[in-house]
Amino acid sequence: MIRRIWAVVVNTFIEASRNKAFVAMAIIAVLFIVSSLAISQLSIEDQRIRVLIDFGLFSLSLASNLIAVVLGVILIHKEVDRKTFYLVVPKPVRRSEIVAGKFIGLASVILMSALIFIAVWFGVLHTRGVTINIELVKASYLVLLEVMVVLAVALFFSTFATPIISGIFALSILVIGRIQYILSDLLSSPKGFFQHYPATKLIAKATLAAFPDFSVFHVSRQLLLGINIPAQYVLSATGYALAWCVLFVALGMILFERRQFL
Amino acid sequence: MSSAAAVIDVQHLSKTFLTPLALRKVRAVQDVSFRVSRGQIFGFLGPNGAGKTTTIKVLTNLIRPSSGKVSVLGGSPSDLHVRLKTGFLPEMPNFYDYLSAREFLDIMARFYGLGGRTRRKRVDEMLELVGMTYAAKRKLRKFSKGMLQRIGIAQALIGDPELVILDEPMSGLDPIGRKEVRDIIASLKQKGRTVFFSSHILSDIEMICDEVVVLNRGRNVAAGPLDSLLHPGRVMSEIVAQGPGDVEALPGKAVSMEGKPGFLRLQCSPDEVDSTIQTLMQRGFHIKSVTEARMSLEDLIVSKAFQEDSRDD
Ligand SMILES: Nc1ncnc2c1ncn2[C@@H]1O[C@H](COP(=O)(O)OP(=O)(O)OP(=O)(O)O)[C@@H](O)[C@H]1O
Ligand SMILES: [Mg+2]
Repeated sequence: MIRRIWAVVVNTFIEASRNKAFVAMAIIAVLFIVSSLAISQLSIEDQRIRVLIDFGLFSLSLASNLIAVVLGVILIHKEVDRKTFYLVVPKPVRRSEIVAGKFIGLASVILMSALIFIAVWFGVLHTRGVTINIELVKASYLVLLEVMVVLAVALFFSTFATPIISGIFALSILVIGRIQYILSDLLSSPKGFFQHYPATKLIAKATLAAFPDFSVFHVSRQLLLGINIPAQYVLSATGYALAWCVLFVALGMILFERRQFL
Repeated sequence: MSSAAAVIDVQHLSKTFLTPLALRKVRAVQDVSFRVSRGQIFGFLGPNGAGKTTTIKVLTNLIRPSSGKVSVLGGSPSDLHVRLKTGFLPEMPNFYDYLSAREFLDIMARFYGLGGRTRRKRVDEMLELVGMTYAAKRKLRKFSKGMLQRIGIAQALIGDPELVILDEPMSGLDPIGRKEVRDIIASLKQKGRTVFFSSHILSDIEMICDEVVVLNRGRNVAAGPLDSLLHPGRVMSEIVAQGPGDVEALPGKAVSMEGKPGFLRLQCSPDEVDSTIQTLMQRGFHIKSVTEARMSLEDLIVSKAFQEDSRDD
């Protein structure tokens, strides 16, 4: 099983890393972070570090999520569209193994480009006299957890929908995940919409449960305030991300298993 | 031969495609049955749109049958161990064109659980077999159509399969390439493998197939050993005539000759020649020639297709 999944991983990794859109996005992201040096010059001295850290985390998250959505929705569809799956699906490999291989292959490509990005970013921070501490590493790690969930979501949609639709759905889930905390704040506030119309409470709660909450993965506020992120928190965030990844990848496998290649 | 020995056993297979929103049904395959025995070279024949590719997709786990039973190597096409022993070349395949020929075959070989050194050796053998060793490092994007077809055959054989299913393996190949593919198929038979392949090139099928099944419009029209289908020794008479008459109104199957307006070609059995000529002359045709021809596979399809048509009407 491992060997067969690995075959798909290798192929996906090569495909993505030789994909022009991916290479362009990765290069732009790295240039972006280098240019943040210039931007930080514009801000006043004690804001400088704050800008560099904030901007770095933001670009890491933006670029990686974008790459995850683009590659996630394009690569499976391309195989169906160009019928290259006709060469793989009849091979002695389970369809679920193909989906698993796609996920792992794309995840490794994204993580690889993210590591390059983070290395450059830390280099930039270092030249500005910022000490690279473990909290910074934790924050980057949390951002990448979010990216993995987004990738699983994109892959799930692409097992049955066109790239455009999958892209829109995947981005919607990202946005819903990012603003979930607003909804939950509203729910728990003593006044407001939900208290006026208690019937809507249930719908709001169901929405909260049905979609991943991505605010879990964003800790730049704590970082800037100098609050340490407990290891326990990182661990439970990992579990949370893993659970959503498994759910979406498993759903993708079920749909792919039933698919016919017309 | 008992059904246990059948490598492919298709019983009453039907496949209906639904157009989006289920507005229209396309009956691609209807009640098709045939059986392929071990060690055979089995030809799958039929004009465009006959349902060959659809049947092959069912055999290779790409689509599910609407009804009927399909067994491959004693199991279902969805069984992993069945596919481990099956090699497949799709019709007009597209490749991972960002890979080199060697990289591609290497990845395909991984699905068969081949490790390290064995895999490399196997890939080299396959490149050699299809004559692509010289282009092993080239990206598939830069391959010509015929070169790609060869790589397609190489990937079908990479797992050393017991059963090889090829959908139009000769398409895109030059005459030398065709001969090479025929030789590869023949050598597979020598090794006791079973080959099931579809083709439009009648001479290719006539030359190497032990048995054939012929489809037309999704239905079986003929099956069996080639010799019995072609009525060895039985001669057909072919009459070529010229005239102003309407081809449609003539008895039997008359076909207009391409590029020769007013000319038509008509086949009948030798004892019908007199009456047929009489009919033609009565309708104002001039007889140009009467020749004897051995029935070819093409004629078989045309005559069977014609019978089907007249039954529909
Ligand atoms: N995905 C599909 N959706 C709808 N109809 C289809 C689909 N695939 C095939 N068909 C129809 O099914 C019939 C059989 O097609 P098939 O591709 O099996 O023919 P074929 O014998 O392989 O022909 P060819 O020799 O041209 O390759 C055709 O009428 C075709 O239009
Ligand atoms: Mg076909």
